Amino acid sequence: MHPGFLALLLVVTPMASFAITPKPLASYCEQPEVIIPNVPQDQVLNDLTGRLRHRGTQCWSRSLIRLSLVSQDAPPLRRQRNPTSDGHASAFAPLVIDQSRDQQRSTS
Amino acid sequence: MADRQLVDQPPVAEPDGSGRQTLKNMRVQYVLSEARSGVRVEAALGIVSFPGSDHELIIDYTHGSANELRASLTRLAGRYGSPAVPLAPGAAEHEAAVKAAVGQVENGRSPQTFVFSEATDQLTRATISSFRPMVALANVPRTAQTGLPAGYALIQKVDVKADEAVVQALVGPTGPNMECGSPITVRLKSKRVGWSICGHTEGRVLG
Repeated sequence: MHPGFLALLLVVTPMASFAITPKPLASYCEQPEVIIPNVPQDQVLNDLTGRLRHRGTQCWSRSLIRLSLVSQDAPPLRRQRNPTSDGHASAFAPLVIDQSRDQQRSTS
Repeated sequence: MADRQLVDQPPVAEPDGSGRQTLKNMRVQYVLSEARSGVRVEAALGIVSFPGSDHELIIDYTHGSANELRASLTRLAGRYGSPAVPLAPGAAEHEAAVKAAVGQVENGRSPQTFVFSEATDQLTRATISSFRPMVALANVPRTAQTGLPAGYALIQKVDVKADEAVVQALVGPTGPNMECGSPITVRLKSKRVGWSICGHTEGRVLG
């Protein structure tokens, strides 16, 4: 077993609500979402930005989530651009399980 | 306006107690975009391990934490008053969704002859028949071995709502009882103008 994998287990174990085995990757369509009507997008953006800056994410332990905002150009997540019906790429950047590397780890 | 993303800080190396630098972090990602009915806010949660290394691994916990994410989003929406009353999709939205889905059904295939059944609504029939051949299920040429020939796609479901749509089709060839075909599900989400393909699943049904 790769030593890093054990470290990952140690991170995940205290979180009882999360299984160690990754769940199926949530598709774009399955992501939790909400639609807020009659509000400019910039206002939602500013509100969300401020909320996250000042209060952090409320659902999980702050010790496990260190959330700060950076520009949308930051590349922390592997991006996958999906073609859209109008021929443009969507800006959705899903979280991706890097299965190929996972397999490499398993076989190393 | 382009979709906008709020992402967390790139993960930072942390000592793991044994002197090694392990890298771990959880992140919540919000994506803001403009839907027909308002501003769509989506949330995803993942754990990143060994970022920036050859062993970088991002594990998606969005599915497993969907309830928590929804609760967070609901609280956010609650700051803006009453819940959304979605706009009913009009004929134009319905047509646009169906046309986008047809493109996905044919993805990588030659243009199909589409097959409708009694369950297929009139608007869908009119939309598809305006740019593709369309026949009733009863008029599909069948053989003893083939219920739906190659080049034919049976429309099984069209569900267009205010801000999301699902279209399901079965692409031939199938066995005589419609087994062994290629079922395709296309999911779409509304944009301020038009639709965005958000999911396309295709599988082979084993007979």
